[in-house]
Amino acid sequence: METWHEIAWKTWEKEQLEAQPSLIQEAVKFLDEERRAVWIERLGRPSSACARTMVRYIHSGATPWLVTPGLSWDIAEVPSAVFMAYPAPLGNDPLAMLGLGLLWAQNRPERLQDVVDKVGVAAIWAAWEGQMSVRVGASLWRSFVAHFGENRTDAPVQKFFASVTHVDVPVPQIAWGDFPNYQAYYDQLCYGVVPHDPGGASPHDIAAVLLALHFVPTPVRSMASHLATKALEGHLLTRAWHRAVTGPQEGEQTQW
Amino acid sequence: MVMGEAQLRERMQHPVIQERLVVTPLLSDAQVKGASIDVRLGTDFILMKRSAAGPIDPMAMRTGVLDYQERARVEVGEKMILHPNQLVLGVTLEFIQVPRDLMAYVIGRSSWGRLGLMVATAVMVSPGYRGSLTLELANLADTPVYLYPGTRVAQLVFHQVDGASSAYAGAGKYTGPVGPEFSKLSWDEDWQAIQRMQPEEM
Repeated sequence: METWHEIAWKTWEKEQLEAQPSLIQEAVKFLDEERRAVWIERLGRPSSACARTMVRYIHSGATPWLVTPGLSWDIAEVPSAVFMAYPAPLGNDPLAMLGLGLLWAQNRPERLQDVVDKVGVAAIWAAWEGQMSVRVGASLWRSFVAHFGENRTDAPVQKFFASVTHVDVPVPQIAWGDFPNYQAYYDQLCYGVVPHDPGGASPHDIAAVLLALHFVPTPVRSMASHLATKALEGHLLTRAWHRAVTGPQEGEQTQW
Repeated sequence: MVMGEAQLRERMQHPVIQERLVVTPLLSDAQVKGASIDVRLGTDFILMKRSAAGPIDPMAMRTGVLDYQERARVEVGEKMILHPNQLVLGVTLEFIQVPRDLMAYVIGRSSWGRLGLMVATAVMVSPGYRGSLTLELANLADTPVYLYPGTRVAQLVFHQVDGASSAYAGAGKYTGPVGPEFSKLSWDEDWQAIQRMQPEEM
């Protein structure tokens, strides 16, 4: 016979899940009892607009990402979804929220390549900005250093990854592309306008916007985070608008 | 002097950021047309709600404003309903910088006006303003109407300001927002004087 505690937990779980879409109701069934309660409680809190925007930009794979604020980074993959939590205080910063991509990729080469294809070298800075475990970006860092050299980063990032030498991870073959020229976007962020291209067009290079954000001085960082998020939203909207007007391009991802 | 299309486009390409007329993201080049720039309805809203905390006192609004408002986000492709006599604060999809030698007027599109939608009451955008524009949206008709973020909802008409030197940026109350902002009426310095002028109790 069930104790009243067991009944109470089941009732709470049922009530919490009633407000959630069927996708979540089905996905949590794959989690063990203890983890299920943790994720159900987290999923009751809405994720930040910035986190949702970043997920729209970097999402890869066939399964949806269910992103919630928490107190630390966490991930649980089940067949029908990927549960991910990020540190809530960092939720309004797009470079920190890029950490969701690293969290998903871990040290798997094909996934790391997916992330780099979308955000280039900014992925390296995201590990530091997101206060992630150094293990998460370890193999990406080694690949970066092999390709660009350590000196293309600044002191905080080098210090952050210094302990990577003690982490046993392979060095993946990553096609990095060019190092972005972020100066114009940096100037715009410091001045206090949403990063843009000539004529008011949305930035064509999101990696450059995110990298520029890293170098913005701390006193204006919060404001710059909002401006950079707005630029990312504009980039996504412009892409979606163009697709709606002209139709999807061949091979283009049209759903998140 | 009202700025024409060629002048608007020239200022939007200005190499010096302080002198540049910024309207971003510009989803369609056709938004710059004739003597105005069309702006679209953004995705963030502040819904005014009834409160048990008492009436709004513009003299003492620095705290407790959350009692009167609820924030909502409606993505492009979705819609929200605006009931008769309901006021919501919306925002332009575009972030705008008005250079210091220009000012702008926000003019609601007549097509929406004919449905009863009033788009903005604060129609002047000061020289030097930077940020998205908060739009006061009110349904004056008797029928509910849907609002669709992403639709062109107003137009900006820019004027040259002769001898302009004072800038909004830096000192203004509304500089730099990327979402709608609630009234900051209580920030007015006049309130201190008005408070001192209240008659003493007998």
